[in-house]
This record gives sequence, C-alpha cells and structure tokens, in this order.
Amino acid sequence: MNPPVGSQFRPLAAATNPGIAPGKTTRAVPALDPTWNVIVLNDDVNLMTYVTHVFRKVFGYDTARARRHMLEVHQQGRSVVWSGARETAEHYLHALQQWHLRAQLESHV
Amino acid sequence: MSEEPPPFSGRGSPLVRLRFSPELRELLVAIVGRVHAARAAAPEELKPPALNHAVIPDPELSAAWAEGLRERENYDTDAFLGLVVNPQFGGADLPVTSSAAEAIARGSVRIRLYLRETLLRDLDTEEIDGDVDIYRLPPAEQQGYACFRLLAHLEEDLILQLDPGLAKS
Repeated sequence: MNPPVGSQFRPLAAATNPGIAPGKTTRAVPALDPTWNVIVLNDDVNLMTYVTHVFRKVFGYDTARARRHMLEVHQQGRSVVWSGARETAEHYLHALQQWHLRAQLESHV
Repeated sequence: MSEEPPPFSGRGSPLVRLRFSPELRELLVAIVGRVHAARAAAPEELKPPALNHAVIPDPELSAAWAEGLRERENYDTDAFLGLVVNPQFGGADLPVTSSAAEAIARGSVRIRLYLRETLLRDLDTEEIDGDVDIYRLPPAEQQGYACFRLLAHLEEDLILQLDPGLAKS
C-alpha cells in the first residue's frame, strides 16, 4: 500500500552561525529531520489478539515484538510502535486507522 | 535460527464457525442493519489525525486520507454484511478467503466500536470486558451487549485461524 499522500514537512532552514568568521570554509550540515513516532493508544474494544495481529500485519513484526507492543498499549495506555521519517509514519498511521486502532503521530527532533 | 511464519499461514481457508440460535442471528442482523442505517444517516467525518495536536492544514491531504479510509470501510462493510445475511451464518461452517476474513474482522470491529459509543456507552471497561450482570441492563442494551460479545468471539476465532502463532503466545 502506498502512503496516502506526500509529506508536508519541510525541515527548517539551518540557522546562520554568527560565530563563524567570514571567509572560513565550513562544511554544510544538513538540517535535522525530526523523528516521527507512531503511537497506538489503548481502547476497550479491540481484542488483544486482534491488536497483536495488526502489528504483525502492518509492520511485519514477529509475534514476540508485536505482543510486546500490544501489552505496552494494554498496560501503559500507549506504545511507540514505529519511529522514522514522516511520510512512512503517515503511511503506517493510515493503515492502523484502517484497522480501527486509535493511533497518532508525534515528532521529536 | 528458524524463521517465524508470516501471518496468514494457517492451512486451508479460514472458517466462520460460530454456532448460535436463529433468534440470535435475527437479532444480529437487526442490530447490524440499525448500525449501518444510523451511520449512513450521519456519516462520520474522516479526518487526518492530529499531529502534535495540530491537524494537518492541507485539504488535499485530508481528502486523500478520508477517501482511503472510506474505501477500506466500504470494502469491509460489504464483506461483513455478506456474511451476516448468509442464511447459513450461525448454523454451519462457512469458508472464507484470508482477505475476506480480515475484512470481516475489521467490519466487525467497526460495529462493536459503534455499539460501544452508542448503546453501550454507559458501561465501564470492566463491564464491557464481561463483568456485567446482563439482566440489569435495559432490553436494548442487552441486545447490543449480546451482539458485542458474539462479534468479539467471531473476530478472535478468525484472527487465530489467520495467525495461528498468536494462540501459543
């Protein structure tokens, strides 16, 4: 399945550094892309086996990892199930919503 | 190291193998019909999710996002209704394809989410998990609860057939 849409995110331009003397050669440092976390939230409708299966299906996780995330959701109310680039995170979020899981994205630089 | 089999590696077609009375089947058909009628009358707004509490400000994205969810939901609804109106449902094993079993499970979850938000909204989490005296509920809630539990059983059974490794974990 393709991501639903292209990413809206564009990294902020790197700030100019006033501490660098004019004429000095500097190496371009790429702006930091934030890491986007896909977070699944607990609910009292979806079954534990169903949620584990969805993690296996959507992310391709093995049973142990899928079950670990499911238990985290169940016991702690949420689990960061995947982290990475925004476009991929959006794709996963959309897939989780199609399976009716409560999910959201959060970004961290 | 042995490689774990992927999901959906169960042998043969998944079976819908619930057994229940014709009365319960009629009730289920009626409830599902009511849920779909209510949802058709007041369709949900399908939006992209909040990102750090700010909705993505892009109409094109919103439309594509909603359309993707709607297409999936229509597919699942068709699969689920196809099962429910089958006169053999509840009385015989019904083989389905793996993709149909998935769609039926998702369609079933959607019905249970709706029941949870409407008829069963006053139940707390322990009650919805089974710790409830069903006879103290009003008749409409009793019916909703019976369907809720029945559909949960259907989902569990299908998922364990699709992904047999989950039964051991």
